[in-house]
Amino acid sequence: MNGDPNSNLTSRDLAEAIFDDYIRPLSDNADLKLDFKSELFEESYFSPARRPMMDVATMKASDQDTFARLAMLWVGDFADLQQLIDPLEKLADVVARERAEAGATGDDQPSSLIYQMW
Amino acid sequence: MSYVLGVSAFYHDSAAAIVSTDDGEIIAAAQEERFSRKKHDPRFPAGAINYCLEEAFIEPESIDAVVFYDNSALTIDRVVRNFMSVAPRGRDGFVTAIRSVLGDKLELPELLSQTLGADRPFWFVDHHLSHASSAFYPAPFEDAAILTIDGVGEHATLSIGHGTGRKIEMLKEINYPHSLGLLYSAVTAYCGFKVNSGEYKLMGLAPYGEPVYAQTIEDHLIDIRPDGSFRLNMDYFAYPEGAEMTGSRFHELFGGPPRAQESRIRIRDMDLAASIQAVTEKVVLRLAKHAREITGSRNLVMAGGVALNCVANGHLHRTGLFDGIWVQPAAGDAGGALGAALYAAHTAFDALRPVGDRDRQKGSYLGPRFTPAEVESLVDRLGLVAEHIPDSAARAMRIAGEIAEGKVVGRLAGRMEYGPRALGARSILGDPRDTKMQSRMNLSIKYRESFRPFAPAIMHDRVAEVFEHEDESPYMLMVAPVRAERRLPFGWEDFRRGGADMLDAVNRPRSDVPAVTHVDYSARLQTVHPEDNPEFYKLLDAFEKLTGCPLLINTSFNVRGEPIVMTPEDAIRCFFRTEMDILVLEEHILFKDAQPKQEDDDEWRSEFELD
Repeated sequence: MNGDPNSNLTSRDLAEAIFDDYIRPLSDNADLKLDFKSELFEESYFSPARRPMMDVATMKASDQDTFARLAMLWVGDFADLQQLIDPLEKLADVVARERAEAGATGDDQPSSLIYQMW
Repeated sequence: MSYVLGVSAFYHDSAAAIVSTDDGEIIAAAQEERFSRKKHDPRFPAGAINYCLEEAFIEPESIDAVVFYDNSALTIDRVVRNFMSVAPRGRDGFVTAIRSVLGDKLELPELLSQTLGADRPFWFVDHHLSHASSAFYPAPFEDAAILTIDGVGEHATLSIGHGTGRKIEMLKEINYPHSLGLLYSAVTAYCGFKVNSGEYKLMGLAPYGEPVYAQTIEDHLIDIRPDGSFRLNMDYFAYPEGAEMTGSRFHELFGGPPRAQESRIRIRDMDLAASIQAVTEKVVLRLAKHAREITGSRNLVMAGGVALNCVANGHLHRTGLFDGIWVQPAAGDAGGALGAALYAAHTAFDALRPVGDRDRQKGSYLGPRFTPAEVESLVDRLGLVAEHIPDSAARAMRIAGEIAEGKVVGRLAGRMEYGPRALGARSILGDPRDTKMQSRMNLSIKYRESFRPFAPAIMHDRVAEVFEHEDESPYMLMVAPVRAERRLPFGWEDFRRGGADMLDAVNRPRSDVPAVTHVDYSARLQTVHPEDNPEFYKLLDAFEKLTGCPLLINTSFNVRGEPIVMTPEDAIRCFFRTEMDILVLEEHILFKDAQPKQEDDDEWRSEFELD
């Protein structure tokens, strides 16, 4: 995706690209959109405590490794997120430029896709 | 001897705790807010950590491990999934949340190294396992069902586990966004109180209302299964998007926008408070029954912020479902520090877990203490006038006499409490028989809402004389009714017909101990045992000898928005800012009217953000 705020891409182009590249794949996989009082009767909404605990044996044997693994996960997530945040910030710049060019004020009703999205 | 240090931080109520790896003894525990003077301080608890090391009298090298109270990687996973699920909405909340979580938690190892001046092994324990450990390990039970309920940890919002000996097995959970704690917080916010601090006010407001919205809540907001598990209807909630708790459908359902903070409380707010309280009690009771079924245990231990709902706890206690119920007094996130440390001590280091008749929480007096010599030095330095009474019995009688004459006393004595409740060590005390005392203490001393009830501290062996309760409740975590023969008619219909004037209601006597009797004749009990706090017990005993009344009003030593005082300096500052009459600092007693005139300090109220 070309996120250069000086390019000729409009905010709509950028917003659609961000949505397609970063958000749709993740939101399609999200497991949080659950039906309330689903027609399929569920006796219980409990989940088993399924996540592996930070097992003490693991902690004792490799506490340094444990932290290293977590740190890598953080950094990995951070890198992914930064990929999303950077285009969003560029998008904000483009939106500001478009609004300035259009002589828009802060009270204007948003009309483009970007305003609807964010 | 070696130790484990537990740490909770970066959400709210940061804290530290240190425990022995020999037998799991809790050496010290404290919330960072007491050191930083910022209520619910979420920042890295450097002050609390340093205090824990001082109290244990050790160098950092004696710490075998530092344990953090949640698994930050899973938390980040939940934050990412949450915001992706609501995309394309919620951009601002997402950026704020993820930067906060990443920024703070990435620095945790460095912050620990800087604070300790040494690199120690650094581990993580899951959030609800930390809560479960804080509830089970100090409890006086060899075996117990464990129920933890809060807003959200990593993914789980509640869990059921089973503790036996030194082992905890986590069995079931409910995951975000379905959260009893967040449902309660959503109603808290809608009724105009702050999330993560106003829930306690909503619980106190509930007895003024009627649960007329309970069915509406069950029809539209929460689907409760017979085993207590539930699912929320997320169409009504905005919290996944970050900024607000409730959405427009929620507002339509209850007839309008949220109440503005600090505006007049209406009957709708009172009824909503009563309704969400009723629903909460229903869920907690079903969860507890299910926990008993799947664990087979006759004991229950609880933690997590919802476990501070002492009304629900009292309700559960009165069902007789369990032989014993024990609730961690630092049930919120602060207690996670203790739980994480205990879990590591008992499982990684095989610390023994002796189980006796009494719990191992030491009355929750786990914080800093100050000597009479330190107090005397401070009093001299500030040019204050104090009466020094070293004999504890004489001192108790002197203080009790003043309280019996209507004086309000601030008391700093012994080690500070761990957890949100003041249990006599950092307390403001008054005469519960005085019909005007509740509004006086609320409005002129605590500077808080007039409707809020006060708790009684009562001699443990006299509790059944005043309340329909026979067991101990040392941590103010059980509500019980005042005995029927001590009650006075209240006039509910007048209250609601007359516009629900809460100040008028507060000033109507409801029993022969009106200042600690809520409008529904309930009271939030603290039973005081001489083994936990002999000095406080002596004071209650002295008051009983003078008046025949074995209890006192006990409220936290602070003003609204201020953390509970920790040091004698904090206590003196609070004393002069309020209409408190007397200040007790260990063996010294300061009378307000005997002190030199203080400079006017009108700006102090802006020092604390209203809670």
